[in-house]
Amino acid sequence: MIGLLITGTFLLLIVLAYVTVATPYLASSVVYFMAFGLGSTVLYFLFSAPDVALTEAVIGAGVSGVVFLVALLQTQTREDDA
Amino acid sequence: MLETLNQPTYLHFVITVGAFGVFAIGLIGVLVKKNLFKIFLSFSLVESSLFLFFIGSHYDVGKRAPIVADGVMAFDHRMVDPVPQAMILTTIVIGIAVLALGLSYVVRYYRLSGHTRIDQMDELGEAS
Amino acid sequence: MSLLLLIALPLLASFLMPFYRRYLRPVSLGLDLGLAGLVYAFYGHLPVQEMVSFSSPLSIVFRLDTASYFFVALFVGIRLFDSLYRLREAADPSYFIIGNLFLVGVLGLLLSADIFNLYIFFEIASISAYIFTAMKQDQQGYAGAITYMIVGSVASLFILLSIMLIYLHLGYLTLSAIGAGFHTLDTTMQHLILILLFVGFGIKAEIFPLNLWVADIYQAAPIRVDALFSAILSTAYLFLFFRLVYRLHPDPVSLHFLSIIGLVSFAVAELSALRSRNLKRIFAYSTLGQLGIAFAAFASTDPMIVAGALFLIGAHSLAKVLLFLGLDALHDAGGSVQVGVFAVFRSPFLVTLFAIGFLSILGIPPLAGFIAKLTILEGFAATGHYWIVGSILFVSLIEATYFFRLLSSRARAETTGGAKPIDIPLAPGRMFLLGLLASLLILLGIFPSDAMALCTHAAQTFLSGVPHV
Repeated sequence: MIGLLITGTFLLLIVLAYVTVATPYLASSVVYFMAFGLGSTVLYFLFSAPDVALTEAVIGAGVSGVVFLVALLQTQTREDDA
Repeated sequence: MLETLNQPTYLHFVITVGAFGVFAIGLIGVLVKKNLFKIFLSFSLVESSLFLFFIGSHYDVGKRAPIVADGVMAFDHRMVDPVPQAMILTTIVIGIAVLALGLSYVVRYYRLSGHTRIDQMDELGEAS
Repeated sequence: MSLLLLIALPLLASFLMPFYRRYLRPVSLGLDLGLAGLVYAFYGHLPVQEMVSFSSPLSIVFRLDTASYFFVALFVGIRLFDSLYRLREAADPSYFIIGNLFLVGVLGLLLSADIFNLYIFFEIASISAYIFTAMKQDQQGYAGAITYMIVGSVASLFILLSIMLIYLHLGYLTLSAIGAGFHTLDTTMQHLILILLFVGFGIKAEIFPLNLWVADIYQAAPIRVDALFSAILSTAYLFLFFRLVYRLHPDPVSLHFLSIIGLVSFAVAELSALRSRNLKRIFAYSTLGQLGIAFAAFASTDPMIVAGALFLIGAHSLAKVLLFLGLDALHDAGGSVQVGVFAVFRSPFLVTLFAIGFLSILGIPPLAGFIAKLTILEGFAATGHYWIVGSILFVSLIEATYFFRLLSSRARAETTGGAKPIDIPLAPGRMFLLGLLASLLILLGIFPSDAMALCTHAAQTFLSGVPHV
């Protein structure tokens, strides 16, 4: 059961990583990145690393997303036109 | 069927392949993307993939968290190795510090130059 | 006496800064004098090893042997010099704090004997270097800092991955345990780890295919900071890379490959310097060239050549501090760092300093750089590597071309008297300090035996346990 969960979460993470990099809208890219952080939190719990999971939940899914969004608001760029 | 998914060989294969998939996507993002925000996002992805790989490689099905509490009095071999977890905790915190510093420089650079694109960054070089 | 003081004192001084803001200058000077005294106190007691906590395989160990002592003494000395040089200026709290963090990072890199601490100090040194690069707070500075961050993050990712692989396959973090167990890994994994370390540290130690960004960073950073980067940061990474590599007992083919890379690095850097018209970039390329020679010499595993390389690094650091501080005075007065400004300033004193710096780097007797290059070349000749001797001499000719072009552009300007000359006001205290540095270069060139003895001892410690190739 746990093997299936780990496999599934990894597939989800790869999809999330791909859309984070590929989407042209920077704000949605940051939101996908926060979802990626949430997914890796789940994985850390599955790997019996609750302390890392807590840190990742706060920093990976929370703080770094907020830092990105604040920085985005400070600049007027919305889209990655490359 | 589900039991084969719990085999250590299969599990470590999934962890390695999955982590390096994310690693590759992030690395391609760093190399291909021109927007500084995208580059820093991709760096964070690459970093996370390394953390997942490292924590995952020390895990086998049935191993408990390395916490001495609730009647467990000492560390034993059924617990996962706590050292990688301590290392990754430190590294996550270093990562967010570097990220915040980098984004603050991107914002300040934007205020002076009006763009956040690395291919238009031509302040440095022989000409100037 | 504890090694921990070398790390703890600058950190404490930074964190307590708000409490003595008004007395920043005396405290800063006192701190540097204290550190210098501390380093001097360790001199007779090497090697020192200290365990900070826990029991063996996971403990935090600091270790100071003769080889790392050489670099610690050099860096603390340069730092003291820098502090004396800015004695009459208004104190700058941010420079004080970042400077201390920078020193902590570099000293930690030299002292820590376990690989994860190494990574942490690596990050501390990198972050303070990023902040240093952006210190001018202009568009160039931020562009440079962002470039540096991107490159530096790639380097730290590679180093992190190699540390993870080492822990995963060996289960140790202390350097000595890793060195003992490394050969039990299978060959593919050994090569993978060595390549990851080479890329990570090669970026930081500014080695040829990985150093295309360096001149940009030097151009973006303030000139005083360039002096620190050139004299301290890149040399520290160079030493560290070889200490790690020697621990891992590499095969002769890899070492041979490394020495070729060093020579290519030297040649490419000097060719780039020949093309450049910006003095900051020229000095940056010259640093890359000298590090290239040192890299090739370190890879030889011959005690005499390595001693020469250590002497070269010391002489180069002193000469580069001299050149960059001279350039700083020039920039303050003339407002430009283009080659043109070199032809039109009026200060016989500065011309002499620049000439001494250039000639020492070039390796002209009776300056310190000559002894260093002579020892390295003699060593290579004695081991039969005549082609290395030939290529170093040949590339030195290129180096000589642009140095003499710079000096002769002055001579031409003096005879024709074309452009309007700029006066360089230099405070007497600063003249004294720069003169002291220049005379140190001459003294080391005329009486090299004591310094050479220290370098030889350091080289022997550095190479102990390494199979001779």
